[in-house]
Amino acid sequence: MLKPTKFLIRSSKTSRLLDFNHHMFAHGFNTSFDQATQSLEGLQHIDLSKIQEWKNALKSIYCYNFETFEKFDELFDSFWTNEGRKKTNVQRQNNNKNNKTINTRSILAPPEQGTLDNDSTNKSMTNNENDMEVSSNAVSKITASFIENKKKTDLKELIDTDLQKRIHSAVLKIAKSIKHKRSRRLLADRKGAKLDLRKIVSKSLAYEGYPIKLYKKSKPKKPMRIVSILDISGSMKVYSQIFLTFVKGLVGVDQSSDVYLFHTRLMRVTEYLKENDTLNAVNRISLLTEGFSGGTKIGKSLKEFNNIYSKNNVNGRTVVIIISDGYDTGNPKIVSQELEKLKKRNCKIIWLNPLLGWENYEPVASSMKEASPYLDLFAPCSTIEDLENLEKELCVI
Amino acid sequence: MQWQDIKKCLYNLDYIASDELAMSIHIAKNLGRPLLLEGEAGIGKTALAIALSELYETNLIRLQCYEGLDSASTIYEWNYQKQLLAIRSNENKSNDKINIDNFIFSRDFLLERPLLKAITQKKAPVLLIDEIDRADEEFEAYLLEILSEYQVSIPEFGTIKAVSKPIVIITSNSTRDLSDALRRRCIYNYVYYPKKELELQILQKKMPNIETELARQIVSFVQNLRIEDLEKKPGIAETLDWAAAISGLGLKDLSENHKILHSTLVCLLKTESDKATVSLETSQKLAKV
Repeated sequence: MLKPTKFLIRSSKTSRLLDFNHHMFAHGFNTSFDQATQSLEGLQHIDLSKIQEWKNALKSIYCYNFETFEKFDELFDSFWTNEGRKKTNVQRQNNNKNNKTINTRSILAPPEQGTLDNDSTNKSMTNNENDMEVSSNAVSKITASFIENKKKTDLKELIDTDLQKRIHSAVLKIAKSIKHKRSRRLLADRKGAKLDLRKIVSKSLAYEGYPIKLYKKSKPKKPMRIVSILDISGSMKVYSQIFLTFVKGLVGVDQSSDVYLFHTRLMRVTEYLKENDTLNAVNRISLLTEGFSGGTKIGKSLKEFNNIYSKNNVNGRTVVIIISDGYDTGNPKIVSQELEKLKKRNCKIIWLNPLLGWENYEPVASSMKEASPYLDLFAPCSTIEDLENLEKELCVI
Repeated sequence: MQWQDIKKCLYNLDYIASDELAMSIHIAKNLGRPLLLEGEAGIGKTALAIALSELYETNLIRLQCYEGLDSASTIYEWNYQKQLLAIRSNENKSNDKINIDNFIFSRDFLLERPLLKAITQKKAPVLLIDEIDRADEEFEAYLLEILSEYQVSIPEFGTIKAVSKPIVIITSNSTRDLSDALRRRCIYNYVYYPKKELELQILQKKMPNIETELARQIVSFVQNLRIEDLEKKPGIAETLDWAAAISGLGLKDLSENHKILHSTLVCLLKTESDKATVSLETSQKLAKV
């Protein structure tokens, strides 16, 4: 028997299904009115008294990939049986309330000690940044950040309104610079190397079979695809907002780009970054990443990436950009093992390290040492200029 | 036919489907939508299409996808040789050009490829579009018209509408992400590795002569092997191959001869690193569990 749902007043099947449609949409499913009509039609062919049949039928209709297939049961139970999602809903409400006044500086910094108070978050974030700056200044390691020229300003200090435009132009250059790779598919091309026999024959029909005009075809160049894996751990906190804007720009330029965030675990955020409003996109991601704990596990996250996502998203036409400082609390050997596996997919691996812009920096972090043999490019990214310079480097690889 | 009937009939045809999968087939059939099946290689996605064609006693039209697949090899192509011969043979006749044009661009000169063939059959066939992730994204665009409207537009000829709606099964091994437009048009199911009981049923159904105890040992070995950190986890097809190898070698018990057992693991482990991961000791342990 069905347990009572949350919508007792609107008890008709249609209205409940429409509510369910909204419920799924609110939880990240790409639903439309089409699903609701399909559900209504589909439910006519099953035994409505059995909830398991409801579940299986709606699952077939609402799911469209592995992630949604995995998530569906929990969401179904939370809606039709009032189980499972209560706590999360409360959190979401609180978060939404806070979002109204959220400051971009605090976006990637989930409130510490479980508090959702925004002001305190901002303060703690600012304090953290100041602390970082003081400690960095004390050892005189930052070279790029002391020059007055904005181009040379360390990214962590650059939070003005100009930021998005600057990063966007850098992103555009990078996206253009990533080489195209030839496809096996042949398409019509006036200067192509091969004769297009199909077209020649079909056009020659008009001339009684004599091939008066020759048509040619060639293999077109296909663009490379960018997959970004961004470290948002504590040590990268000051940079992560900037890089998030950077990867958001990449998704904007090329919709086939893919973005993952990691900390102690990995999360795919591409769908959230497709939102037009950068601030909204980043807000949604900050909610998603709330459950992340401290520390960085690069190896574990790369392993998760290899096991679940790389099969779908990495091939010979992919450039994988890892943005991390290389400080890892996990076993560094796993990093090399996983990068080796990733490399077998014939992709290009680029590691952007913000610490590389520091004077006398050497990749002493053990994970960084382990990773270096598998990298096609190891480049700094602590200033906007570094990001712009990437264009030249990317042309070479 | 209810989903329970589909499940039962498939069982009689040696295909053991989970409740979820049987429901997906039922919904896809009733809504007239394609069924998109994703999952690891070797877990019975293609076998389902074959079983369905037997279930509905209809033709199976298979389209194996690969990179570079285009409309000429999937939808239709004009028979140019025949067209040229027709032009030459009509050269001295007084027919005007329009008549010749209509003649050579008629159905007689059209070569039907799998997709067009599938919608022009009197009895709805099962159309298997296998491993669609191997085809280009452009090919997905071709598919969209056929899968949403069940019709094909040919510029020289016009639109050919479906005589019957085929039962479309699309499989993907997830080597690339499919477009949202294609996913939206399909009923979806992700086929997992089967649970222990289900795999045991499959094994006993496919190999009725195998002893129950040996079958149980084989299934638990494979189930435990899937928990190991392997690059390519063994699917049902591998389990069946391995079971055939084990029974072919005359083993009655997996712990009977560890060296032979270990050497037969070539049926389950398909990469060098996986072979290195499962040492003789590991296989001994797995056989004892």
